[in-house]
Amino acid sequence: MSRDRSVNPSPTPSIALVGAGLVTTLLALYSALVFAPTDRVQGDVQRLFYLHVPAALTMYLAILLVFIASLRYLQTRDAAWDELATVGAEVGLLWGTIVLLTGAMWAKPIWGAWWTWDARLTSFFILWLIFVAYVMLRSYGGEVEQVARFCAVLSILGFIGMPITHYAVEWFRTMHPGPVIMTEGGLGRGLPGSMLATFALGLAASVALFSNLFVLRLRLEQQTRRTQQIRRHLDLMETP
Amino acid sequence: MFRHTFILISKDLRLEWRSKEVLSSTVFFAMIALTVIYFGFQPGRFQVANVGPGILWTAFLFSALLGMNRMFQAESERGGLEGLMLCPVNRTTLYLAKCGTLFVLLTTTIAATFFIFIIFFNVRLVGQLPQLALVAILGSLGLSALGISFGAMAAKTSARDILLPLLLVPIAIPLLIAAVKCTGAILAGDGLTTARSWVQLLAAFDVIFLAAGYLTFPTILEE
Amino acid sequence: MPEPAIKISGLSKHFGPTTALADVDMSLQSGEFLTVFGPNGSGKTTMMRIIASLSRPSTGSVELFGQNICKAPSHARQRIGFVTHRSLLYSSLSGFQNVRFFARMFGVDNAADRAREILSAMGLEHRMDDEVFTYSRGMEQRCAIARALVHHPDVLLLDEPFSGLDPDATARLQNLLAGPEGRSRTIILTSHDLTHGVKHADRVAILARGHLEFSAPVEQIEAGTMPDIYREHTRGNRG
Repeated sequence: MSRDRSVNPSPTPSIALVGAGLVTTLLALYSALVFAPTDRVQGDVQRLFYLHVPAALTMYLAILLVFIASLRYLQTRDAAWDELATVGAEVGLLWGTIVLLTGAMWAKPIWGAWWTWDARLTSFFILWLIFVAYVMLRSYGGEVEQVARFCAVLSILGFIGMPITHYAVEWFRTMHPGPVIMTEGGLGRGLPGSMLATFALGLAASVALFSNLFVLRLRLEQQTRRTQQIRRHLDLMETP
Repeated sequence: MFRHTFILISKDLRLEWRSKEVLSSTVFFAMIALTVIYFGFQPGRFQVANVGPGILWTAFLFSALLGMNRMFQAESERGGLEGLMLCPVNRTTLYLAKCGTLFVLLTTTIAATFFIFIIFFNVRLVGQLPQLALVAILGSLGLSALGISFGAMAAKTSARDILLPLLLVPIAIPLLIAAVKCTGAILAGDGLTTARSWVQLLAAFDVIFLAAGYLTFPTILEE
Repeated sequence: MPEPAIKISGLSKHFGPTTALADVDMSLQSGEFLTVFGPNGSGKTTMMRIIASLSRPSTGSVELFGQNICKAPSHARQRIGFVTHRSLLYSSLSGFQNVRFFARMFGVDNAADRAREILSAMGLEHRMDDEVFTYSRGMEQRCAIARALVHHPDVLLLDEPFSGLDPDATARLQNLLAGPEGRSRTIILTSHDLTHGVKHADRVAILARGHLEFSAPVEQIEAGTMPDIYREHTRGNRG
């Protein structure tokens, strides 16, 4: 009566993943707070950069994950892909919120305002809004199979709209600090080695933490769905 | 396919003409919105020149959202969409037909909104109508494309009123920006040639989301 | 042996964790009249919607005159007329405008004339130019049937057509099914009411909790035993 799963039914974050998460986070924290030199212009506030930018990059990864999972779901109609998309969007939304909050914390001392409508920030905010819409659609979308389809279509439309949104907002205005990781001189030339190392650690920690949360949440989602399935079967059997 | 599309659109427009359900709500809402904006901001001549296009497109966008909701609500009350699905027409043809209907309704709405706008805010026009019409058409086309996709989705859920704007607005932001920029260029007297890249962006938006909507509509209607 | 008009093989439908239909097999010859009984939630409507191509099966297939309906849905729809308890009519248009619209959509020649013809056959010749919202339930039902028959379908699907009808309208529908429009077609009718629907049927089936529990030609069923058979197959736990 149960349908085969192509994915391991209850993955636990392996010791390796948890370990990686702990180690990278501790290293990154130490590096960001102690090891990295204080920025001459911005002062200690700049240290938020080691959390803010990696978190943003991780959210872009989440967007890609949700897009691919949505496509695969529409092709195969295998609920496992839908589970991945659900979880990816939720954790991605959380990461996005972190980006916006740290961005605001950074912006206030540096730019004098909690929020500005500059290009990069606005683009990011729009992506965040689409994630919010996705999560709301999950809640109100109706029964499971319909919701899965709708969310998949939403993520595809959102993903397709990314380039055009990027250009529209970019032409609209720009004020963000220029790119420091990828500058004219090539990858990483704009930063001194110690900062670059710290940034790399920050990125590793962000991805590792994301993965841990992702796996935990995925396990929860799978167990929830399985429980609902069992409950329905029981209801069906009990009806006289 | 074209025959069916034509039959569907004429049926929908005939229905709308009888009840005027959608158009009356959108046009009156636009009037209310523009009134609120006037009393809220009391913009003088200078401000109107600057934020006029924004006012226009904001009022129109909210009217459009309202109109889309009404359109889908009316459809589901009559059980209409299901009747159409029993006919030997592709779901993609249904999408085109619905977009066509919505496009006609939206262009009418924006024309009315614009008319009210120039009266309320005392805007002077010098032969800019053809260019304005182009922007109106491109904007309505993009909104129709997204509106049918998301409207069909929202209509099948329990929270259709809030879901439609939530789904549509973030993705429609490029269209909004471009439309406002184009309208601004026209009203300032510079003409669309200065805003060429914005016109191209609008056109690209329309093409992208009409294609994407067309391809995904069968999935949305599936059961 | 001529191919069956409708052949259902291994049909299952899941809505997420819920199973609406489980492994249904059924075969209907051309011109046969099948009545399917079952309590609410037994999967009757789900099954009808799948045959009408409004819904897709999770597993299994439905063949219409040998053609898989999922592979060629438009062709299948051309040959099917579907009547549910919702009329699927546009209430602010007249009965005539409604039926003519569907006639056009189905590519019927001289749509207007055909619309008048079928509406008259349904006894609506005096009301066809009035808006549908002015119709009584029975009249709306008749208009819906006109809509379903306008394109000369080979198969007629009626999902709980007797619900909400007064005795007069019920009699009209019974007569229709017994008459030429009904006799010439393959018909599936679903109902949860045992008093209607057996009269003109060739076969009777019972659907319970998504499973096809019983299927037999009407001649094999002793008069008056239907209620007992129904009770027997719709009670008790699933093994």
